[in-house]
Amino acid sequence: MNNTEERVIYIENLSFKYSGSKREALKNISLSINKGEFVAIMGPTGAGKSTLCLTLNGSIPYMIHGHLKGKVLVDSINTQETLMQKLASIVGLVFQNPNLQLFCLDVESELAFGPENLAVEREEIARRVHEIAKLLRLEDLLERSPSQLSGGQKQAVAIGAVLTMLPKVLVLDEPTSNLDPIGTKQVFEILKRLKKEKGITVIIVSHKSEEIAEFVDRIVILRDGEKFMDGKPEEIFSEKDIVNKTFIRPPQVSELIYKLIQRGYAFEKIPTTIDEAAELIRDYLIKNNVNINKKVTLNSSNQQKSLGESSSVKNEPIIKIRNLWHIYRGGVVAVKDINLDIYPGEFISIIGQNGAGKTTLVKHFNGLLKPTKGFVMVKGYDTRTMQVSELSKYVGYIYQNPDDQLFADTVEEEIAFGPRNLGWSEEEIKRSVDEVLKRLNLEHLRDEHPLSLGLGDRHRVAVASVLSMKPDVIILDEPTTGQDFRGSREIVNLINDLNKEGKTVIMITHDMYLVAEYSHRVIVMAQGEILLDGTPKEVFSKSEILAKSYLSPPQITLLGQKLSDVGFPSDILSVDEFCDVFERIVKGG
Amino acid sequence: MVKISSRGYVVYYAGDTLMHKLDPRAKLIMLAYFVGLALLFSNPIHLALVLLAAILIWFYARIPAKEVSRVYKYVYGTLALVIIIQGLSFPTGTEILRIIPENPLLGNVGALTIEGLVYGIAISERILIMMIIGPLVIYTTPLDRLILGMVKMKMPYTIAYIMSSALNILPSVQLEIATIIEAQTARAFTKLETGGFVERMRAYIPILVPLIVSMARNSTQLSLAMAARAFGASKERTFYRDIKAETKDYIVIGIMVVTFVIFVYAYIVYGFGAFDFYAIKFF
Repeated sequence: MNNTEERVIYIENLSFKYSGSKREALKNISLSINKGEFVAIMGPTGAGKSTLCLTLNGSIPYMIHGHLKGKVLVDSINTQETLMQKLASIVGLVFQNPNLQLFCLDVESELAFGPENLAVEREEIARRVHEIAKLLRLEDLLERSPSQLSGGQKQAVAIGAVLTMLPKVLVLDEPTSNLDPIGTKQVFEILKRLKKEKGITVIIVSHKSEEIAEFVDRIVILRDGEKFMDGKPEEIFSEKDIVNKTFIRPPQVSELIYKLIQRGYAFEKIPTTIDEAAELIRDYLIKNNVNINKKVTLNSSNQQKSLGESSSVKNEPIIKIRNLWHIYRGGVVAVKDINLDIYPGEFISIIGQNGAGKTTLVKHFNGLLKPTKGFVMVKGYDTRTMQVSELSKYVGYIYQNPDDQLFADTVEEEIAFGPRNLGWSEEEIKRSVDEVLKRLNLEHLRDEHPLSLGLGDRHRVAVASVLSMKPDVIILDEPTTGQDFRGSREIVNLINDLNKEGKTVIMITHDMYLVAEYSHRVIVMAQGEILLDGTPKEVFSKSEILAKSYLSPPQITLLGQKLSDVGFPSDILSVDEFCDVFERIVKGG
Repeated sequence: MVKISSRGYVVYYAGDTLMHKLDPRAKLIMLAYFVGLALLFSNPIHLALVLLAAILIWFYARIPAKEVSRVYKYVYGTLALVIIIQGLSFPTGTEILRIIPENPLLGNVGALTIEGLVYGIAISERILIMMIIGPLVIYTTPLDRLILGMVKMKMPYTIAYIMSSALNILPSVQLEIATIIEAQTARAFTKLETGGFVERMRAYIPILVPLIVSMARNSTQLSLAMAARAFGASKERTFYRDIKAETKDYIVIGIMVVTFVIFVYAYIVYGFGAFDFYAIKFF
């Protein structure tokens, strides 16, 4: 207790229940965080992570009501006894969606808004604005409107906008969920710099295990509102069975060494970063006198995924795109001269930075957008001559946010909406609805109100409401954004099953692990053009081209590439594949 | 240079004209001046001159013509309606066309009269003046300075802020509606073009429900984010950017005050700009 001065956050037996809810969102949490610590809070959706963040700056209980027990001290101030506005200058809170936290005309006003509200002198505000802008490298953007910035820049502004209030603690609630890989990296690097140069205490909620392992000092895991684990990244990620216990995916390199130990290889520790893992493996090979004489190439059994494609190549393409251009009003060229054939049964991932033209491209497949030049043929129909409602019979488009489409009083009605619009007979509608309800295990929710369901179920209802129209092609635009590991897995497993049942799947995503694991074919877009088009192995082995479009292959692929001098191939896609290669190298090829 | 607010809607066209350089308070007084004149005059000719003056300032400030058409795209229909309804419902006058036969209940209502049409034109001119001058002030003034102007004129900050942010809400709602319509269109939803009012409203439920849900969610998020930035922390608030009234502002304000007083005097004493719609002497 003699280091109280160092302790910046102290939570004692904290419980909270939202008003109107029976369930306790937080249960008896005790937690103490020291000055200058960089802490990640992890856990599945509904574990209480956001609730915990909101108690730190007094939003709970001041703005969001409910029943709170226990004590939260921030910088020795009790949050329940202090005005929330005063806490704003001690705890800076940054949220997930940059568009809902920037409301000024330009970046400079955005940075000044907080201190203005705190009635800070004008000269002092100017000093802070320029210091923070310099620290976050926003100096050249001060005049710009927040809406014209990239996702990463917007979050940098949102972080800067609370930093000008000189908080001691920065709390970020999933700040990178809406960002592409480059934006995510930018945010983590800013946080690292803040900790190093300013000694600010940083608390981040995130699902991104690789970045967390690289940057944070400590991980707190919540489960069902309770503190489940608390420790250093290497302690947490070396824990046995962490995935099943907490639904948190450890970094791939941790999983790798864990699996190798299980296969009987002696490693003394579990690494959390790629450099550590590379070093461990090199040491192992040297210590065990492994003779590295040739490069291992992956045999065909490891390439079954790409075989799926070659069998369908014989067919006629289901979607044919020729010389497609799309120019938005105002002259923005979103896609440039795209030529592409999509074959029945393929599972295609489209990746690329935000603004690369991915969404513009796929919106041509169901006619939501019409070509400015060139044409798109779907099952032999020219989309220029077809209504979206006609094309929706062939191409189903599933939006990222289920709440943008759920409206009916019951799940059953929701799913019947599409077929009804298509003018099917009552009998056909019923048959299709029953089939889809059964297929997606939603039968027990048939009469429930869609909006009363949890996020995972709402997602499945949204998918079901498109599937009931029996489209041949399913398009998904970032289906896993904001989902935890379990949620993403559920969605993608479902899509994968549908693909195996014969549906053609086109998925836009930033999640390279899903791309590597599930797709037959990867299309990389940059500035409206197709940069790469091939199997995941072909695409991910070209990490230099990927880097130019600010993408990077999965961690396990990178590890293989880093170890190419000791015989590892550059196109390893999964942890199991890496284990097999490792065994072959150790056993002498 | 064009500045766009965080919700992607143009609210400020930077420029170097006197209209841009004026103190926000002078511009707010100008707003009041034009609205005052629009309400004072009833003669369509005088109103037309006021309208012309407002349009001239618009062009002087070099606001793109496409903005004019954007603002007025929705207005034409409304104005036509105002003119026709007024034309039809004016109690007496020279009849040009009778739509509803004369009857004791409605009297002269239902006859298109010259007096009615002229009155309708005058009302439309009033609406147009207000619709020109409002955006003109907004397009030439950065939002934060406009708020500051209002606050310096003794308006509470919260009210000033809410007023100005109301300008931002509409476009974000439009964006959300566009996404929802797309998502439903992808489920073969087509807008109902026929049927009665109730039926049509029912047909919009697939768009209205998600819209209300998202607006409720977003407004909670927005208020949490604003509180996290100490919005409303104290009654005292500093302003990072200051505004100072200069000689040119006093001159402009002076001209407006003096001419307004003259116009009011002339109106009361000589009936300047007044118009007796019951005694049209065209014929």
